[in-house]
Amino acid sequence: MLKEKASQADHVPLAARPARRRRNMTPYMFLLPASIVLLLIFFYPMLNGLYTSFTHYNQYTDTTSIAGFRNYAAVLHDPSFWNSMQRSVIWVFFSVVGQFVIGFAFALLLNERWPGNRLMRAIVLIPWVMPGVSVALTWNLIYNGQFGLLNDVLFRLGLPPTQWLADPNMAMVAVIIANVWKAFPFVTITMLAGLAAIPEELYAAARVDGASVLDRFVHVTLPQLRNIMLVVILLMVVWTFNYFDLVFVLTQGGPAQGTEIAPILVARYAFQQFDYGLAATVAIIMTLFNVIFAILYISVLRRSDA
Amino acid sequence: MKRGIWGWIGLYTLVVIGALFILTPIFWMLTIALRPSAELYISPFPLLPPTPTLDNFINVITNRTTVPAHLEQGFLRSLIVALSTTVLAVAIASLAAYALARFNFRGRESYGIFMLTTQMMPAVLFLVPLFVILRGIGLINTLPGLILSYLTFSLPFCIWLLRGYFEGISPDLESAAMTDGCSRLQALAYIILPLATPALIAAGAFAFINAWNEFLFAFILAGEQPLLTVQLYAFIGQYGPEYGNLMAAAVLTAAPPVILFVLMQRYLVRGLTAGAVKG
Repeated sequence: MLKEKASQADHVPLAARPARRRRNMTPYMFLLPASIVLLLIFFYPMLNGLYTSFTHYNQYTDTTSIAGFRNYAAVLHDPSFWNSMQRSVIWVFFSVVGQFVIGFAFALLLNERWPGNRLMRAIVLIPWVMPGVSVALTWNLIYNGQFGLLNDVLFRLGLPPTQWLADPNMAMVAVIIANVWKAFPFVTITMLAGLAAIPEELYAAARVDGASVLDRFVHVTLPQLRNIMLVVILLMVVWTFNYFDLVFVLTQGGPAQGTEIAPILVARYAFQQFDYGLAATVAIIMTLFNVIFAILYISVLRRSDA
Repeated sequence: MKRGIWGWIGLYTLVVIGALFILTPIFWMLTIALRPSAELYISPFPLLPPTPTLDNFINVITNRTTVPAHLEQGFLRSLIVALSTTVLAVAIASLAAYALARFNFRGRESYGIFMLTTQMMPAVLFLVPLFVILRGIGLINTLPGLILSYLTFSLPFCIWLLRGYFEGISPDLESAAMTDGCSRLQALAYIILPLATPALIAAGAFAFINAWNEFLFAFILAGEQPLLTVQLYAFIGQYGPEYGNLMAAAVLTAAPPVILFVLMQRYLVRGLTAGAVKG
């Protein structure tokens, strides 16, 4: 369609062109404010970040020198980097699985008709709109060693208390649970919209064919929701990978770097070691992961569509 | 569909489990905020405060904590930043979204795709560059600098949301208005925007909630003008044992976005799902 128009325009006599061009300036004028802002606070910082990843900043002399690929080599030889990647994979995988399963279960529940449904729909999104800092502090007191909810439950069951945030692996489980609680409502609300969009005739037809509840779920619901599920998972993976606030406030990446996911490592490089080059390098690697993941994902999505 | 008695029992069992899952942490927050600190160390822990009190909230609001936190200042700053971000993001995004929805021009597709890729960038990538830029133009540790930084993510999101909505509005009305001598800008202001009120509310509420809840940029780029979330974070170190005050502050910080959400719920859910369902 667009191409057709363009080739038609090529046959327009040259003299007619300036008028056409002037008319086409309108959309650019409308885009101008947004473009200026994005150039200043998005494009330029992004390129600046890329550039910084090829420089070395010396905090003692306050000078910056070109470092070539030395930051990348340093990062790849840094056990902290590989630790953070490993932690990030665990963090993203279990967070997204948890968010998806619980979020989808809530969506199926809310898609049924029952008294109280509207009230539940109202409260289900509360965790998602709460500030990450408030959520992190709340969970911090749930995990608290002296009077935390979890230890209280253990106490009532006659089990010994646990220091939930003192063990590196346990701390990872703890931040993932808090994150699942905070972010699952996004899955619920998008899947709920997806469920509402499935035509009722499909279920009616399946019932006529004698399909059981499970059959209908597997052969009608899931295929109909496929695309929206994939989009939601893509978004959850990228957001979780980039998410900083919750883990930072809950554990600061500790204990013993047990919860030091990639964005926490970036902040440590930048604002504790003042090694801006290394920080930018890890951030660029994170960006590459996101982009590669998104491209792979979208191509899989497109291919199976056809 | 007919449901038997066991169906109803099963359904409501799930409802109760779900409600417990959502509400338990919120209950924990409130039960600690509403009791004197001394009652934290009774074992077994009394789930409801034995002597409920609003003292923690009063302490926090009137600065009667060990070190005055001056949350009222943070509250005001957060309000200024969130409101300014909202107004700027929605105004600038309306213009851009209109261009993307109504014109066929070179670069339209790539501009649209670019709006989506912005949502994939890790915020930490922008931290150091934004710090350097804001220091360079003298806006480091200022609220305008922070507002500008928040547009990094809220502007593309608003453009994306509004564009989808504008595309669903029939262009006939504008055409009629423009034949009557309306300019494009007037058509947008007097015809499209009133029709797009639900989308404007959704976009605005999202920009507001995101700005209000944000911590990382506020912490690094304006630590000397702390927003409420930054003050709340600083609470942890300063007030180790004063958990009641801490939770009262956490509740107060969370209240505005939660209240806003409950009021705007219908718009928010529709705005949020429109894009995902279409994609």
